Amino acid sequence: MDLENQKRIKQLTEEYGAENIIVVLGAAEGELSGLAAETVTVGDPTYAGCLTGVSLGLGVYHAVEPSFKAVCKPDVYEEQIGMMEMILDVEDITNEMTSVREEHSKYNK
Amino acid sequence: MSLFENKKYILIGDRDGIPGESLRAVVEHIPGSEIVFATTECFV
Amino acid sequence: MAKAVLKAAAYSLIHTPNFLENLGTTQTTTSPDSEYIKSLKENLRTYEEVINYLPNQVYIGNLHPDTLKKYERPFCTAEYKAGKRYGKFGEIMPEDEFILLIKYSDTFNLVLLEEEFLAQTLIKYENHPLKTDDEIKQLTGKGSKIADIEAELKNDAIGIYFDAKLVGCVKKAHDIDENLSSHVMIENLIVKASAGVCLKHLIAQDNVDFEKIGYVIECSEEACGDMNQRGGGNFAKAIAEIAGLKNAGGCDVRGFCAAPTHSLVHAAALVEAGIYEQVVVVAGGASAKLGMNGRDHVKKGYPILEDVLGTFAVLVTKDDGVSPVIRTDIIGTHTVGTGSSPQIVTKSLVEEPLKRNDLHISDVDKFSVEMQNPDLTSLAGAGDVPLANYKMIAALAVMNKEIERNEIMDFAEKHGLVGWAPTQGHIPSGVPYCGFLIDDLTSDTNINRAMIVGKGSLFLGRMTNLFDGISVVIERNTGSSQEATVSKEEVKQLIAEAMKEFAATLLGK
Repeated sequence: MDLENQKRIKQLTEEYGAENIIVVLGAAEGELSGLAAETVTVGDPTYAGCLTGVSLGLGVYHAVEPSFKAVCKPDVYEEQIGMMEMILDVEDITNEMTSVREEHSKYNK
Repeated sequence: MSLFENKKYILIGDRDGIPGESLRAVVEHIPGSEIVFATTECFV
Repeated sequence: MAKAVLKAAAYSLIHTPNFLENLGTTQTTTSPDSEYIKSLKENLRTYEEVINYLPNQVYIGNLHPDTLKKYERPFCTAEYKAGKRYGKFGEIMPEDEFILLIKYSDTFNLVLLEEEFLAQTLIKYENHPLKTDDEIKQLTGKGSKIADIEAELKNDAIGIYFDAKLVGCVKKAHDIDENLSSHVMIENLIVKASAGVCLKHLIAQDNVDFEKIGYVIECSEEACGDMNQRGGGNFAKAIAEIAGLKNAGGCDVRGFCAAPTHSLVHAAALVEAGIYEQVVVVAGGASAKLGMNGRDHVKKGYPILEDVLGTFAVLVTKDDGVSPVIRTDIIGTHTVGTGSSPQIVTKSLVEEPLKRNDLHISDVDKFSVEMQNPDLTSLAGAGDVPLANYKMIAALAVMNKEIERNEIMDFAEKHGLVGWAPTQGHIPSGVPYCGFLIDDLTSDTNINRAMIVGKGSLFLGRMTNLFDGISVVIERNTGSSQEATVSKEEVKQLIAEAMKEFAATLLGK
């Protein structure tokens, strides 16, 4: 994940408290989604950013996951995400996200 | 109440996936949501 | 109004492993103590490996993009040894010769090259088919002592390395202006020199007369200027100058990755309006993006694959009756009010201009979208970008009931191409197909209509959250140019007028 974004996430978590925050991802593949999810839960797996070794334990979801989709307004979701939902490998992304969340998220899962 | 309601949201979009602004458009409608950061990453 | 056609295209790559290490932002922002940086050199490819990398051979025109379908991914595992330095679109230049051209591109005595390196490389470069007398003259005997180069490094100069050995430097161009720092100067000189390589290949083509080129548009992603005008420009004229385009004016067009397609549209408009008969669109390479996803490539056990600078140059001229026609009436524009969801972006760029012209999505035989080589992004977990774009276009066709949902992959295969361009921002966006497009649309193929789609991430500049994009359709030339039709009508009118006059004189008499 972009280094500047890691810095912002760290600051915002300190400001609002990890239990109040949910991260939503829009990554194009399961693998990248998993890496980003790990970054905001157990720490940056690429050892590049300020979240290296920092376990924020945030609740993190990908926008195409059924549990997230269920809370969105259907027409807006269709207009904004519908096409990508058709194209992305939703199952792979959901599996990847679920496994990271179950193992590393401390809040909002 | 859903765990998604009344939360602060950090949105990390992807230029070649779902961009941050699209995430913003859907999250805005979740009851009590507040978007504290939205961005779009680019790998190309 | 004359039609504008896509007359010629050139593409070149420059293998730059040392610039990758010293200028690529991924490398310069990663801790020198990290495993990635410590083992960087052993993960770099040799020039021979770069030559034999299939996507690179496609880029310079030795293989058609469809050839890539026959190979397993990643392409870097293919046993291919038939790669050549030169192709019909350009070349893959080695780093040492390119370093010479950086010095040749320097008009302010900022570049020092070690005398032995310069002399030896000059001997090598003298075999280059496009070397010029002026290049040889300007470079001969212009070497510096290594001690002088080392001294400059202590004065904020940035080192130039070849084979991991210091062979030169670029000095800062101003004591306090960060816009003229050695880092900015080397990035900009690399844009200028690399674009120059490609422009020379363009004007060396048989059907190109450089003296007729009236305007040059440069569309890379760098900015040149000083502290009073940071993006002042004009790379275009600087590049036209080193390529010897003495009759050309020019300026820069910026728009992130979408800039080449914007520029293509600008060029077509200038030609159609009759302002210039021939316009070149050119761009140099982005040294900052070298090795951008290198960490991921290495982690997966592959070499660092983003080790080349990409450049391109295309020539737009008035209708010659043969070259593919740029349909300036079928242009898709992502407007301020369009929005940024992928389907809205795709609709505005693909569906809207076609619908407006009573065309279906499947009436476009080939789409040239963002043609990134999928090795580079897939190994970084970011997927196959061209394929994702084709799926989006196919999904629109599904929504329009042109195809069934289970035909998405077939559509992508039939109307798409496998990506082959380096992840150099503007370089892969829309324009990589122009060279093959000219071939495909002027030879016996079933491709008659193509669409070039450029997209750009404006939000990276932190000025707006807007996305950007522009598209244009290019069609096979039917030979019956508008100009010819108009002149026929003009002739008829002239005859009619002459007859009238004649009759009037007779009557008068």
